[in-house]
Amino acid sequence: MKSIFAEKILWEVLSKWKKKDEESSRFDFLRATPFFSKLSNWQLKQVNEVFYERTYQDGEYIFEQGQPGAALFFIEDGQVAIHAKNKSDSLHLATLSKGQFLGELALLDEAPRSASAVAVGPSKLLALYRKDLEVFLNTKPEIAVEIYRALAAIVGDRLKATNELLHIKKEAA
Amino acid sequence: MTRAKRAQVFYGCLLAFGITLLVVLCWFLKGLFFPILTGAFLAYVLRPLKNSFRAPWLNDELRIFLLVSVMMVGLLWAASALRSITPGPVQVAELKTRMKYKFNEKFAEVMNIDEETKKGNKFYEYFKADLQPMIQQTNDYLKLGEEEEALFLEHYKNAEDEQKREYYKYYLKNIYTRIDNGERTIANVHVANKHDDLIHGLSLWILTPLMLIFLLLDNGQIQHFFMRLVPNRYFEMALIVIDELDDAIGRYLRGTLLECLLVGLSMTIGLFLLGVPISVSFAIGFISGLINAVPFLGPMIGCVIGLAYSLIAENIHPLIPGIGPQDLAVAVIALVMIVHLLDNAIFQPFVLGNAVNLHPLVVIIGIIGGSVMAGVLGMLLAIPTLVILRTCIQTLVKELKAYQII
Repeated sequence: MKSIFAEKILWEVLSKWKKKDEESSRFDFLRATPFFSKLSNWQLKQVNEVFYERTYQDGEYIFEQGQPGAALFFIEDGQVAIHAKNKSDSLHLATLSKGQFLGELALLDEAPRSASAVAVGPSKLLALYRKDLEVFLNTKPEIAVEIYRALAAIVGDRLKATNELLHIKKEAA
Repeated sequence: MTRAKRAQVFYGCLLAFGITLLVVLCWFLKGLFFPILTGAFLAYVLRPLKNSFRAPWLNDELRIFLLVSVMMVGLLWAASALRSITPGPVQVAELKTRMKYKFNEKFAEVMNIDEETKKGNKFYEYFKADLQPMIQQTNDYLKLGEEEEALFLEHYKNAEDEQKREYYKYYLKNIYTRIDNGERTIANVHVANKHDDLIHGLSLWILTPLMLIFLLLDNGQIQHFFMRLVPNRYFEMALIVIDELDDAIGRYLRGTLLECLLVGLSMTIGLFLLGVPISVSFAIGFISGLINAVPFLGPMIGCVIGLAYSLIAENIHPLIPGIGPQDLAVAVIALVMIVHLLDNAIFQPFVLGNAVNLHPLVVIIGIIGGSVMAGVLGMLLAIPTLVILRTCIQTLVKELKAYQII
């Protein structure tokens, strides 16, 4: 146990003294998202190792509606447009930018994506694969629990918002 | 030419160059193939053990170092323990002498061959031309090498033990079937070359533990490197395909290994109960377990080896009452059938599930094809290769359809 605390303290101290390099700016970026806000630098380092960095050109699909989901994406640079296709037309739902995330439900199961995501201009994204999170659950449960807790809070908030929207629509009708 | 087209041409050329380089390297470095494959296989099979072997105070490097150290110590201990029960060079020389003598004796008995006139029954006279090369080949195979002969003479020539003197008589009788000295000289040249090959081969096998350590140290870096090469369109699909393949192939390989181990152990225990010495039981059990990976043929070869031993068995002391040397052949056939039944009814369903659901015709063609391409090793690797190929194609087609690509 001593060595784990020593390693943690060492990381914390080093991170304070270290110049703003690529890794620490990545840590800052991750800590700004709800999923990793409570993780230490030492834990963020572990998470950072499992991320896949992907670069997209303008108009390139990140994922398409109806395809099975496998990963959660964080926008590190650029913008991403979210579209949902109906039977005949396509509906623009939102445009996400740096620091935001998309496809979070893929962390739960392989259910089909409910909308498509397209890069708007050159974009850089970080992908967290569902199975890597499941591995964390066995190997580093304290990290996995924080991520799942954040995911549960996000899904809960969305559910509340949807219920409120339905309520407003019902009253209006 | 547009940028996309230029990129296509560039990546196409790079892929073609990569494949050509890989083929050329595989051809020139084919000697490295099996040591590397063994290391990779061991790392793959041991990965769950590595993942479960963890403690909060252990970092990855120390964990792998401890795991490999424990494995090495375990292997050394097992090797020294096995050495005491595996047949040594003297026992091998004795077995070969007994086998050669008994084989010729039984053959002469069955074919009713007269020692003086060298004439046998009608069957023998009719098939003599076909049978003689086979008998000659078997005799050549069981012939003692120069070192083996020296060892045998050292231990058996002036032995006081009755049994050993009997075996020495077998040796003297076998000498009559020996071919001229010229062939022995050629055999010596082959032995010298074999020694050089052995040293060269052993130096290449150093790669196996290195491969094992480096692959155990990998925490997904290799997969991350290859994922960078996957186009964005196929990124998520590639993640799922790799994961499903890893899961299915891992389960199959680990299951097969465990099944072979259980079959080998059952055969060893069974033969030991039948009175076969522990060293011989272990040797036959080990071979039976190893070749059990080849469906149909595995149990048959195990049976043939057991029967071959029952041919020469003389002084057996079975733990099961009522079995004598004359019943050993029947008992070995019964044992092989029991082990085969155990394998089909218990080991396979529990350990493998329906991972090996190949059509029997595919299995037979695969085994024959494997043996034609790479001999015994090809025969052993044919079914795992077919299962892995089938899993790859099935998973790829399933995911390509799920991602609406095909």
